[in-house]
Amino acid sequence: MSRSRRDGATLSFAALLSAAEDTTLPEVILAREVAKGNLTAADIWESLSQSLVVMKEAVASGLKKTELSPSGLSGGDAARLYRSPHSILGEVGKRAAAYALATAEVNASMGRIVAAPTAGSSGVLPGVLLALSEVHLIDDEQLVRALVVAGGIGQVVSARATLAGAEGGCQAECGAAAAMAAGATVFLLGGDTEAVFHGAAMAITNLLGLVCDPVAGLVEVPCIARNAGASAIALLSAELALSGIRSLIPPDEVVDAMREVGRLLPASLRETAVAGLANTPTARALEKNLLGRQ
Amino acid sequence: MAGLLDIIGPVMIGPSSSHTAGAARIAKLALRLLGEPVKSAEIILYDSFAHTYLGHGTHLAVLGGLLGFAPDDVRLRHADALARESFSYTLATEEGMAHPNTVRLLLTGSSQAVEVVGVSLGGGRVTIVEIDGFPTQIDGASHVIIVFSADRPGVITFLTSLIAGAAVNIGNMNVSRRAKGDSVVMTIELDQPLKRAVLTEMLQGSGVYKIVQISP
Repeated sequence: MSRSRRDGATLSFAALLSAAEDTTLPEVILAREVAKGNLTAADIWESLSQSLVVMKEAVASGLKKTELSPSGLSGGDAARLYRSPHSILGEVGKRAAAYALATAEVNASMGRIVAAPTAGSSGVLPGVLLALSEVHLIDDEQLVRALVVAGGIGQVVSARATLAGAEGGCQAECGAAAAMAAGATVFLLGGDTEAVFHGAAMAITNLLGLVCDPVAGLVEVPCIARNAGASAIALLSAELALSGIRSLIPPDEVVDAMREVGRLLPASLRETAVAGLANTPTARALEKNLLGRQ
Repeated sequence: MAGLLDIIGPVMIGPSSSHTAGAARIAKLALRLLGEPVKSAEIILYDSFAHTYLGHGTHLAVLGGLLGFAPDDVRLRHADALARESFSYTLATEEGMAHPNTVRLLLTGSSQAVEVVGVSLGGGRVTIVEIDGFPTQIDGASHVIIVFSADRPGVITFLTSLIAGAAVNIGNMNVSRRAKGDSVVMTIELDQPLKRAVLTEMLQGSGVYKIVQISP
């Protein structure tokens, strides 16, 4: 593992934790951003509020969607789950999964979403946050603060590892999104900053090594289902952190491990559609059929 | 380091930041380089763009960009029908470019024509790597003017003295030509945009054919 990117300037959970001792975590993350000199705190707040609106719109339109995506590979699953009489995960978990599917399906069918951190993993954060907000009655202002917390976690992952599936596999996209959503959940439910970061770390731990193997190279299968999976892992990780459970490996080291695992993943499992689910006979037949339609 | 709004954002039309949002950005930049509405377009998608454009809506993103739509415009999805109301186009796929996500656009307006090659680098970032056969490096992320001019002494001095006169700082400058004494495409990166009056004065210079200013 190269140490060159791991100098004192590299953003860390440890640095954010110590900076947040005398203030709140969202304020630390916002202040760092404002210090760059391009945006005011009001600009950032406005932009995140706008993103929250887009997230809500995407979920609402995705839940109504019954038609298939342009490729025909996906569509209608969010509505299917939302209408299902079963609720094994409980109200928050089931809604989070349905909303994550809804957003990811909107993304697959050329709808408007917020890449958070990426388009392929765009369902996880809105899924978790909007489900929580409904069941725990959390207002928009607090949700924007949660977006700041999630953004700060994403910045640490981006600085120490990567957010690109082509570089680090799906752990870098849905894994990072789950870490962001887990930390944001701990924050919303009153956990301290240490618990926020351990929630994020446990989410990454549970998704470490997840490969990126998109069928026909498209952001649909298995990406949409993995958004639902990552939202469940995020909620579980937050539950663990809020109960006082801590990751034995410090959060920064967990992200560093994710970077190492990403580098060791073969290229065939990093968004190239060469191996994994993309290389199954069914996937290859669907791909051939799609190419024929072009 | 990635900004907070790069992590929570951008707002975009899915499904892919490289194959959809990036493609729309390239086409929108190409429209700026043409400088007038498109009358006809020849679109050539290469490699990964060529293999997956249907599922990623790359062709729709390109058509939307040529109509001036931004990467977060919900009309991208219907860009085929909307484009057909405004201009005629052909779509072809080819292989073998240096970067897998490459598109070549041959655009004709009512008085101008331009050929642009753009690559989509991921995360919605793009670079225009070729204009009318001249190698370029334009990413649309900074203020830049693109000057089409004759390849002869004095043109650069004329332009830079006007920029200095406007008290605008030049951050970077690239002069691209295919052969000596032919014509050139200059890319001048600026700290601030130039006022319209300065651009008009530049256009009156001998040997200056066309100027396009692009801002982020």
